[in-house]
Amino acid sequence: MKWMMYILLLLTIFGITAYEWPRMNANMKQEKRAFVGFLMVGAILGGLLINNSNLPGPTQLFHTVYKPIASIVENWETEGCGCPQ
Amino acid sequence: MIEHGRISASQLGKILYMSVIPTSILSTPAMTYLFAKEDMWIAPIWAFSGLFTIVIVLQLHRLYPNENFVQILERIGGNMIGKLFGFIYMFYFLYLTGIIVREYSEFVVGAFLRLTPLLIITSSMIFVCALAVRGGLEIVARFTELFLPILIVLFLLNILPIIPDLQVKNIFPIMSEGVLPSLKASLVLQTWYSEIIIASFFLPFVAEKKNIRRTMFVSLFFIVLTLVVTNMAILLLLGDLTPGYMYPFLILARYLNFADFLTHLASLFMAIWVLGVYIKICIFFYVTVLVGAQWLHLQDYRPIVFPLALLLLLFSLWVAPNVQELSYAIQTSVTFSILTMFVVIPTLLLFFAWIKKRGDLK
Repeated sequence: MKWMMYILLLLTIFGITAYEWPRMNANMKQEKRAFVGFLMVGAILGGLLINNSNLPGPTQLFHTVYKPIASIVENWETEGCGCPQ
Repeated sequence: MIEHGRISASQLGKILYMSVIPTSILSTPAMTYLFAKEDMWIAPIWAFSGLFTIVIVLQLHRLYPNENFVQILERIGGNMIGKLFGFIYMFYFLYLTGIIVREYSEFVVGAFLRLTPLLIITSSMIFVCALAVRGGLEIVARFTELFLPILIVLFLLNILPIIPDLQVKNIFPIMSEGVLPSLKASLVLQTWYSEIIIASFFLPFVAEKKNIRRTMFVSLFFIVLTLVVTNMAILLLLGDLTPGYMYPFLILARYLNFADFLTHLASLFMAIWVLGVYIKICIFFYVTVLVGAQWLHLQDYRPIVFPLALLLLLFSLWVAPNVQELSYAIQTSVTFSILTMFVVIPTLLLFFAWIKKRGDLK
């Protein structure tokens, strides 16, 4: 299953490049750099997420940062949603 | 300038309405009931962060008419701080749009297309949105203008027929524990109200600036009205059964029945949801792309639309492993992060902008 997802990711990246690259002309250097940069970040993040779908992300970061205030709000709840953490 | 399109003041108002309503009528009723019980219909009235955000956006716009607040951040904070915040805001908008996409796909999978993989629903929606965003600001604005009347008609078609079945006694006692429970419940709604900050990204492109102040307040009024009507209808129909449902508004739609002849009208609600959320994702994704392009000082934002769409797809899978943790995150950390990013930082920015303008004048 995983290898199929990798192939899908590669196909997507290839498709985006094939569509967008010919539409940028020679003097759009900065745009080309940004395009390649974002696609590479996408490829890396996509690879990591396929490998481990429970990768800690921004949500965990915000949970850690706002824990002190969030715990006050949780005490307000008389009946919570029964979530972990 | 990066964007050549222009929109009208009324389109701005419609964009604001559509950037708040679609997800809030779905997710907030269950969340507000947890805190406020019978007072859940009062909670949307406490739209503090909405009013506050509008005032800040208008003041910033008065000081720097041709820039949005991330650009103003770069102007005031200098190159280093500006670049840092540009990156943070691009990342944050990507994260927020990811949450919206995820809410949409979890709802569609949970309520209608039970056997379809999440990835299919998410990626098809993002693909359509990316095409619209690549078309530019005017396309997004016209889509909003086109779909808003349809959304309102479908919304009323859901609410009006159930009026005879509403039980007014469910509303009592009103404010039995004072004003505090509804205030607590309104905290999660501030997440949605503070999303009005996106007006800052559209204001520089508004052609006639005469009516913007009135339009924005009227838009906020209708947002509050829609939420009050939604919560009221849910409360009067379901009463204390409300917390048993993840999506109480969907139960309203399933309840509809015209003389045993027209039934299964939940598909109507599905239509509202898909139309509305499509616009909402388009608006937020447009802002994401705009912030990203301005961060890198690009001349044209179109080349980065599809790469960012791929990132958006990944973020929508990354935000939470399942729908329970997603709604838990929305109630706690997302609310506070959104208040920091969309209310606290713009307020500080306005403060510094005032000081800088005063210094420049002297």
